[in-house]
Amino acid sequence: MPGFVRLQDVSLRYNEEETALALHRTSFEVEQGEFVAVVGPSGCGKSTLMKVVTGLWPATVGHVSVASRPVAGPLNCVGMAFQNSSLLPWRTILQNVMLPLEIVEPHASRLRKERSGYEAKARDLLALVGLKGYEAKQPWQLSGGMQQRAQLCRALIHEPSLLMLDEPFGALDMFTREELWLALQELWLARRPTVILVTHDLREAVFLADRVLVMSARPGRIILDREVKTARPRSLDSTYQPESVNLVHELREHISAARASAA
Amino acid sequence: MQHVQAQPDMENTRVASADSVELPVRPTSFFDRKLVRQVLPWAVIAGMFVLWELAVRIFQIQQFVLPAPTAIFEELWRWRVPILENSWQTLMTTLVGFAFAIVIGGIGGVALGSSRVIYDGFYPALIAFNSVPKVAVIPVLVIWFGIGTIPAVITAFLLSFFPILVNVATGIATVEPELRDVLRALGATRRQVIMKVGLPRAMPYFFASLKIAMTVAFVGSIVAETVAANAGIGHLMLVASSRFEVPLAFAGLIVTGLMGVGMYVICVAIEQRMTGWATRGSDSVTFGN
Repeated sequence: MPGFVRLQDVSLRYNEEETALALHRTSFEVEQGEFVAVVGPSGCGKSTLMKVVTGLWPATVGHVSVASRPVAGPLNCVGMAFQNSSLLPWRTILQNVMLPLEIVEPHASRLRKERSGYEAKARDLLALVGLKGYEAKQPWQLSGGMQQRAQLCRALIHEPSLLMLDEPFGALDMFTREELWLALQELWLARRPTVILVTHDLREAVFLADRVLVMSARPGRIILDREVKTARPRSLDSTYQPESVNLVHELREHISAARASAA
Repeated sequence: MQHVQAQPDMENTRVASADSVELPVRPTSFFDRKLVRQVLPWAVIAGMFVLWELAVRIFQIQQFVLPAPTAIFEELWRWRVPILENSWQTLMTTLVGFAFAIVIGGIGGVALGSSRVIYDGFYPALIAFNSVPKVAVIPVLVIWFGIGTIPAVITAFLLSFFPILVNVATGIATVEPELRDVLRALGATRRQVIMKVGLPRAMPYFFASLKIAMTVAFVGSIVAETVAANAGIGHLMLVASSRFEVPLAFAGLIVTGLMGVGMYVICVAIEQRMTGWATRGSDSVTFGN
């Protein structure tokens, strides 16, 4: 059975004038319900990879399919979260979290009639990440970590089958980041969406993911594919166990080698 | 802190009485007090009139050169009925032109900001159009529509629509790419992206432009009235100065200024209601700064 997300020999060039490739013959598969982290040297095309998978950018060459269907345009129903809070400043936290419901079917057409039910759902989700009581606040009234929690809720409210996270915790301090790892693990265990997480934090990748993919320097392609066998639910202490530490070291070595070969 | 002597440990004392500690009141400067801040603008205006009056009296300036404020207010009161009628005419003319500017500038701005093709195609032409001095168009308008209200309405529209158009277009065109990606990955149509993100985001730009457009709309209608109208405050000022009734002409200026300020304040009030999120509840928004 082919993977839920499948890339075959995908190459991408930003535009015709540019000769350099952003991605070069990248292939990988992600199973349904799997949590995959993508790491690599900076500028290696991790974010580009996200855009290709979601169909926001078409691949120049190669084949991309999600849920056994080839990706031709932007997919619908993908949850996304980014490094910078992309909450809408004119909406309250609750309204922000409910944004996808106004767009994704079948929720959009039901929303008017069943608003209270959907609102309760959004409140539950916010409570799950520790934002109970902040529903009516404006985004700027929340700290960076809280905004990222709200962003995660927004990415998950419509129960997407695919969740794309582009360094969602990159701008946070370490303690807040660890807190959010736990929150994300809990959300993932509860719903089991397929997740692709782009990150430059190796501990984060090893803590959260079932599988870690390492990308080479630009033009990016997958140079290493490592499974993380630690049992779930994982504790923060697990990242300091020898098994995890060794894996982080191994990943680190591959990335330094990739950087060195690029330079 | 009543029982300080019963708690020898200073550390504990501080924690235990944290709620009851009286914070030292920082002395507010005279100009920070609320009442003073509210009165200050009026005091400045009154002071300017007093200085003006004194200057006219001390230097014995002729009335047809610079009339004293007292003379101006006297005329203002004497001719209150025609002044009211004519300012009403000007206000309506301006508002009709302004309303057209809002509708057409708004729609054009959305089109310009959301479509690359429309932007590339129309923007240079719009810049060229905006560089034409609108006042020079008034004679042409007179040939087309005759002397009266219509050239003034059109001039008010022509002057005020461009700032609205450019600002709305900027607000929509500068939507953060991440936001657009989030919505597009949910399957949002272009229309939905504009409705959910583009338009709300453009609102602060829109209201900022309204304040500029409002004042230039007045300029447009009044200039047109001085050239090609039988009524309106511009017409009244022209008639007054041709008869050397300079205090009356100045009275017209003051009424114009009052109307401009009044409309500006209304714009700001609407702005605050609509886009409070953009100013984050700071207290510096009273006059739109």
